[in-house]
Amino acid sequence: MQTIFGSHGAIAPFQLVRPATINDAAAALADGAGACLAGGVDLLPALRAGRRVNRVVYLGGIHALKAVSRTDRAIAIGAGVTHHRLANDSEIARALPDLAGIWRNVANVRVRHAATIGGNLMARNPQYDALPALQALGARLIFAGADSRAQATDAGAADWPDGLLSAVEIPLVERRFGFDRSMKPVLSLAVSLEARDGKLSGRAAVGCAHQRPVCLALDFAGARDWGAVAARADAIADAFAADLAEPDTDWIASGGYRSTLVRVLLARQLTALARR
Amino acid sequence: MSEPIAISLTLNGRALRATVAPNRVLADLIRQDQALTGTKIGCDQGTCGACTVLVDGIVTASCSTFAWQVDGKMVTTIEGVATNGALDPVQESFKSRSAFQCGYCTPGMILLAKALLAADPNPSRATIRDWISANVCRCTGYQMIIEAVEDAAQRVREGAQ
Repeated sequence: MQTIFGSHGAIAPFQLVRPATINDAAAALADGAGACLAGGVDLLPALRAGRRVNRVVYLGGIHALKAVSRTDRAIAIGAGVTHHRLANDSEIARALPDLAGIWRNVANVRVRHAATIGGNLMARNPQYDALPALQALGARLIFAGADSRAQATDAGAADWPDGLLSAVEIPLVERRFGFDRSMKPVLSLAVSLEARDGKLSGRAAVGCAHQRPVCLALDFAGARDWGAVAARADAIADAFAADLAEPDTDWIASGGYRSTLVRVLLARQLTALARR
Repeated sequence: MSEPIAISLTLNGRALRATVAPNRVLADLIRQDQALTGTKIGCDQGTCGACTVLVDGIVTASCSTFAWQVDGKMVTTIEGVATNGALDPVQESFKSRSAFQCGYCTPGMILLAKALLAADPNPSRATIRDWISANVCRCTGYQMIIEAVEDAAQRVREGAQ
């Protein structure tokens, strides 16, 4: 018989569970012995590299994880929504046009079609883009527990609840959002400038520079309009960088270089967004 | 622990029933079970795109997709691109533009180009670059590949008129 070489690395056997509901999935994951599979972008290489799991819980058949719903105050995006849909869904584009536009350039076309927002977050890879973006947007993460109760936490929280990430919820406000990914893997920087009841505020989240992205509020030093923010962009960026925990030094870049980039990229983003 | 799963799919226009273990990937179903070795294995991590196939028209890394995930779907490999022995316009363009060197990435590149032209029959060069960036040509022959996709787009448009 002819020998045809196939996939190089064997994946250890596992039990496959294909729940149809979020609650069933949460129950299947409750004992900690299972691994979630959605797009498979992270899990399959890990399994091939030798990670062993007793149970794979396939989330692709859960329609509720792919739901997008909007109220006056927020838009909820299911954890199973792919990057492609995040970039192209009309409801998301209406609510968050900046985010949708930026997401058209995340990863590549093959990954965008397969990978999900939930997978991007739960991979906990400091190089990934979803968490800094959601931190800057002030999003909440909604987790479903095995007891059918949902728990919400800020995307910027240090600890997340146990359970299955079911959705991300992004508040809808008057907003200007930017995400500079041009210096990855050294640094990424997401910035959200917001106006509520005439009051300006903002957040910036730094990715790739720490073990997990770090988000801080921006101090506009009393600026009352976007023109004033643009005029003070350098000072605002300097203050932000001074407050930020020392970025990591690793084989990619030094912490000092990353700090410099934070100042430079933030000042540029502030200027561009405030003048828009 | 891992019960075999019965699946049925359409592979290159032909109905196929198979029984697969949960840990069997699509690339192995295609290459080993169906002997369709045009689908290549490169990085085996879903990064290089050599194993690209179309699943319901969407570019998919067959090395990083379990076989049971294509149950009920339509899978196209490079062997399914030509029609009755006649090359597809994308294949003709790759041939006429010599858009291959070692050829290992070519099946994935052609399927990627097919999907691109289905989504955007008149892609800009920037769009072509964006799509092609999903696949790696280790010979670095990207310029000819980009030109071949532009040529294919023109052939497809002219064919549609």
